[in-house]
Amino acid sequence: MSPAGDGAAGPSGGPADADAEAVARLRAARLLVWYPRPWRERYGEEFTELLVSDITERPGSLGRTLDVAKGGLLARLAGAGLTGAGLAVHPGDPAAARGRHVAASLGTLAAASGVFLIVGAAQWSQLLIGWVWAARRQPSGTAVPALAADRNATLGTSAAIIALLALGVLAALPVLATVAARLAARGPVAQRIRLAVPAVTLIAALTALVTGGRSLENNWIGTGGLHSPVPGGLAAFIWAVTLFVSAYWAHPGVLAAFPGTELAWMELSPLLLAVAVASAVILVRRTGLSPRLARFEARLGLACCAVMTAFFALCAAWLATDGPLAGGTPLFHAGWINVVSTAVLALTLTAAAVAARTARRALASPPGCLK
Amino acid sequence: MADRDAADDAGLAGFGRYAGPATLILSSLAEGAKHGYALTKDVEEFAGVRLAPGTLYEALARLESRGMIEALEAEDRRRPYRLTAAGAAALRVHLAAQRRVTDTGLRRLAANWGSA
Repeated sequence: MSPAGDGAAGPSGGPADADAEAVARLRAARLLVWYPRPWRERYGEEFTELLVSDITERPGSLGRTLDVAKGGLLARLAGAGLTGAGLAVHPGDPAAARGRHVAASLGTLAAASGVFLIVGAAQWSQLLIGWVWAARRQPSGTAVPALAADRNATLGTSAAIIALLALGVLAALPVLATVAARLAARGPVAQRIRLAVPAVTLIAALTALVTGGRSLENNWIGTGGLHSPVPGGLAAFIWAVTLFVSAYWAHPGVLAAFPGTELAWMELSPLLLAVAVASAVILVRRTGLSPRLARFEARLGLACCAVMTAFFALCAAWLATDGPLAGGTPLFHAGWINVVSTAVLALTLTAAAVAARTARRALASPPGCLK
Repeated sequence: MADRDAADDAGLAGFGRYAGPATLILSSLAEGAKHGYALTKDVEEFAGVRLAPGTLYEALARLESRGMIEALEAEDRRRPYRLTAAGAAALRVHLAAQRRVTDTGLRRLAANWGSA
């Protein structure tokens, strides 16, 4: 067998062979769609040739389709920094591949933590409203609320939300400082634009969220801050920002009775949050943090996962005790929206933990040894 | 035990379920550079295993990102790959470890079950 020069299975020249090759190429092109764009740019052409040869040899193969689908999904997970090795886009530069892989992992960690924080904050906000009204109605000296799971969930998630916000600020500082330094430094304009666009978008989305949240926070259905275990202003603001996580979407009749501004905000705020999270992820991926800062971020990610695990456990205990399949207590009864929210918390917690572990493993390995 | 761990780190321990395909690919490339289809046929010939396209390229991407193989200029849309010095060293360590297992297994079989 001669190296690199082996003939491949394929048409030998006639019109029928040309048709067969055209069909094989079409099928190969369809299979290639399983893979992400950067992978296709790097391996697409040569992989297509292999697929065409394979399809010509074995026209009907379910095993090949499943194998390609699995490979494509794994490549997508690897592209998101959730598994596998970084793509060696520039052959012979494993250090750059590692940097991109770490940045992808940190970006996914940021996205998963961000979604967890948003959905978790909505859940916490509901618990808090139950708490303040229960405290107002119950005679002084009695436990608020009656069920330990409700009490633990409210107090525990309050502490966890504050811890997650603090960790988020800590994690954002090195990224923002690096972005500011890169923008201030003299470098290629195109590179600075690649950073400036998501930075400006993030600031604009956050500004709109703060403005909208502040103007809507007076509609908070709490007790004006009385009996709240956290400052009432903070509780009202977070309630306003996460107002769209609501079971009312399933009841359009009730929703139609909402004030127009509140309804408009319920539609606008998720878009703003999505833009803010996406911009933050793009910034993290494009900034190119130093290995030292990336290690710091990965450590913060692990701390974040620990807090999120505690938050999730408290919510799960609350659902088990006071959820839709349990008896239910006034003000604290959890509905199916909470079940869905808790499932989202579980998914995002898993994604964040895998991303944090992948980032740490990539950072711990020498540049040419991505695992 | 520490020596064994060090040897595994230098070999293909980090490849997990892709250690098998990676071993086959590196063994094939030890003969010389080959593109994807030639690799598939060669592996099928010497190992009796047909590497499916997705599995082959998943392993190729991992080997390339770890610097164990390198891509050459494409020839007619087919890109050959060749073994690097790091890849040769990793393959040697991995195969030596496998040979220890093989030798031990064969020796114990011969001692307790007789020769075939």
